[in-house]
Amino acid sequence: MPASKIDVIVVGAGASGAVIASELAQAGQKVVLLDKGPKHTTEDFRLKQDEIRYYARGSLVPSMDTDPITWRETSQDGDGELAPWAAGPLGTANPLHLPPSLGAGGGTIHWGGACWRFRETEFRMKTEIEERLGKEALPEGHTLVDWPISYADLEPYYDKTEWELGISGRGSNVAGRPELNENPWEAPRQRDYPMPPLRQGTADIEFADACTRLGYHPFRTAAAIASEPFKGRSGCTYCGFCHGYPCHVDAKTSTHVAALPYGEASGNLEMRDYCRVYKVNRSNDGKRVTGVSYYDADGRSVDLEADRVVLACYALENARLLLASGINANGQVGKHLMTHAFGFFMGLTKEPSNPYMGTLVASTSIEDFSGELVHEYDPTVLWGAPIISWPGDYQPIEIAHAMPPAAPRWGAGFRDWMRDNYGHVWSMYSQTANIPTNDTYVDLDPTRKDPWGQPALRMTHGWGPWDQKMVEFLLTIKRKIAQEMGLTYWWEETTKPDYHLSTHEVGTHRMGEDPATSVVDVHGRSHECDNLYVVGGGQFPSYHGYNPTETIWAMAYMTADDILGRSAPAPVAAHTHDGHTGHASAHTHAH
Amino acid sequence: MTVHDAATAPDSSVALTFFNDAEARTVEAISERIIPDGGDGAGATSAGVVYYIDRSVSGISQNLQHVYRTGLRALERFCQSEFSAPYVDLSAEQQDDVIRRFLGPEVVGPAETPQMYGDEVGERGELDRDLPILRRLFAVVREHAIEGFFCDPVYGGNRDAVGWQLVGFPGAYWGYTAEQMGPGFDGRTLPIATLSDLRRQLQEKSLPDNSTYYGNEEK
Ligand SMILES: Cc1cc2nc3c(=O)[nH]c(=O)nc-3n(C[C@H](O)[C@H](O)[C@H](O)COP(=O)(O)OP(=O)(O)OC[C@H]3O[C@@H](n4cnc5c(N)ncnc54)[C@H](O)[C@@H]3O)c2cc1C
Ligand code: SF4
Repeated sequence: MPASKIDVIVVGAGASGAVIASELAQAGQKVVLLDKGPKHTTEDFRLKQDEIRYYARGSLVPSMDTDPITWRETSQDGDGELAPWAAGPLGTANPLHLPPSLGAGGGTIHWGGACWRFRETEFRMKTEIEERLGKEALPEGHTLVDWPISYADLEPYYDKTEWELGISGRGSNVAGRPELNENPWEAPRQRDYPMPPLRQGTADIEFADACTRLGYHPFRTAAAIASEPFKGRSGCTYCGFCHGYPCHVDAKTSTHVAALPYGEASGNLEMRDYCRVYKVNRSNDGKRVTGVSYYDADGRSVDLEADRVVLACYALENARLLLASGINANGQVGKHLMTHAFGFFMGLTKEPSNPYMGTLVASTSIEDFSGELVHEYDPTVLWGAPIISWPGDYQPIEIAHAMPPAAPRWGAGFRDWMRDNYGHVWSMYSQTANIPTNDTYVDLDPTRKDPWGQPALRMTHGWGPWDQKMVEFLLTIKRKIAQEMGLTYWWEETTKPDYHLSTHEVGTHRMGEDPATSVVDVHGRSHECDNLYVVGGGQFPSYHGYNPTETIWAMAYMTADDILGRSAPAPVAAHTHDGHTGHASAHTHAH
Repeated sequence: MTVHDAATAPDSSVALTFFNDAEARTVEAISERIIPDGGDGAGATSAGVVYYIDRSVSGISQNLQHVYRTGLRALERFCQSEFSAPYVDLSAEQQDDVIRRFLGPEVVGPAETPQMYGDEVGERGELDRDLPILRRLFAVVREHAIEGFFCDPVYGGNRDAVGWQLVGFPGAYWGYTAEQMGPGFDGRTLPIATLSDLRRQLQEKSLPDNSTYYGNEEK
């Protein structure tokens, strides 16, 4: 427990916050880590094979009652309504349709764990599009910019993420390993993943074979899941309650087991759970922050002071807190909102797919149509994305909600459809981000408040025709794959989905070198208050076909180095599994 | 249609915590038309769906109590005026017809919105005022029936795991082996396990080591 003086307050114990807090504490900084949710332990999750608790009732995600989010399609559409896609008939939501959270681990407690390094061209997406397709190709009113850093700047941090936190996979462009070459478009990496890929389910093998026959280049999706014991954590048992569920054996790389215990073992980190921060406090001249105010579990307001504050509450709440605290001198906070459309494509396999086994991310992907590569096939599509197989991890209620539009919704036909087809369900998806425009942003809702009297977040977001085109192009490829796989039936999500939250919201506190046009610098440090850091996907200047979190983690390590005045990790020469077992002793669930 | 025979219901789970008896019988009758028994013993009634719903509404879904209470009253008004009989006494065809009116047809095309009772110009006074609550009631019962049919039995529904047996879902497993995940394996051959089974195994420490599952050698 820190003495009275606190060096750093970190708000949010999720993907980015737990990593930064633990890095700082291990380097000797006194850290208090605040989260509005609970501090989970693995014991809480032994009986997590429960679709009612985690899926139907979404017990690990915030609810619209406590954390309301309103939405409108464009700024011409009135004041906004409570996110309509988030509440089913019962007022509870599919975990994918709300911001991730709550508590230690944040979104990583119950995420899918798909991990990607962005390819080199993604960091200059705007320039690539303009050079290849012409300046007029981007829609009017777009606010796309290139990243102020390159892939090479992040590579040492990607490497650190994979080896510190535990990512399984098989690299394709590894220094000194020419035999690893499945994905011709992988960015160069200094070494392979610390663990081999997860075991595939049967339908995933069918997907990979079909892609090969079609001349595509399948490779194994990297996963933040231990495929074998890693730093005292178990290998994955393929329990089939993974996406949307916590892990009962700590195989899933959640920061509450992969980062936090190391910080706590240093004796310099105190985590306070059930503490909801509602304001960042500033000095009189506004140039610095002095700390934060929060409501504790009993609803008491507490003021806490520190030399530095790190906001790591997810892209949406980060923006809301900045706005509610009046930190927005240049008007950039909340702008440039980007999120993913998934282009979900579901089908039925001939042989049983046994969809309740494994994890969705024990899967295969193709990059043949990623990023600028798509221009060779269709120059009217602005940017492509990988196509990813989602081979399992489907429980019955989830499938009852995802049936084809032509299937009966009730009655004998409903029952029989589930009886005949549940065991054959399989799916694939892709992730294309909307191009940010002047009309995709978040701000404070003018009227709606949360139960603590704080203004709700309002989203203004719609899918443009250019966004739909990306989804549609990838659907045409998915149809070819489905045909080649011999699926007996398939159905597709629309190119204009009714959701506007995907758990991959980014861009809302953009990083950049120019203080006039961005919120934070390349290390996540606020241009406006120089001892405030605002971190996470909100920093992304553009967004692409990849899940965000490996990049969020890489940037989190960068932020920690900046705070500590450390330089980037030096390259690691050899690929070895042994270097890591030594850490296991620091791993503990005790507190 | 009557309340599920206590003789075939396990333990004390036929008591009610929110619904009165008539309400329970009506909810059970609606649920049975949403997930009817196909002659194989797997339907909403045999699954005890109404007990799942009753516990949900007295507990986590208290916010839906008014939907059931006022919605079921409105349904009785409708059935009396249309059929001069309560919902539970209608024939299966009539019950389906009522559901169609308020939930829409079984099959709705991709881009269509269901054509429902009340989309025509209303001339029925009080019954028209009941429309929103009736539509909400049926949407909620459908959702709850699906949950109660596929939930772990610990929640009061899915009795004897009839819902899981119907679709071939093995239930609460600690993990699956390489052999079980391999090609040609039909998961319908796996025995069904519930959360209670898993808890017992944990307490007895009778679960195999995790390496049984993460190991890639087929036994
Ligand atoms: C079901 C699901 C599946 C996903 N699958 C993937 C995937 O496969 N791959 C991938 O890359 N990403 C995935 N994600 C997204 C991933 O979880 C997020 O990208 C990631 O967690 C974001 O990290 P973060 O640090 O910005 O925020 P979070 O991890 O969300 O952490 C924010 C933390 O801040 C806390 N907090 C929020 N507001 C306050 C406040 N006012 N005061 C105090 N504490 C607060 C929250 O409780 C939370 O613990 C998934 C998410 C979900 C929900
Ligand atoms: S599938 Fe693996 S990683 Fe996912 S929850 Fe189960 S054991 Fe954990």
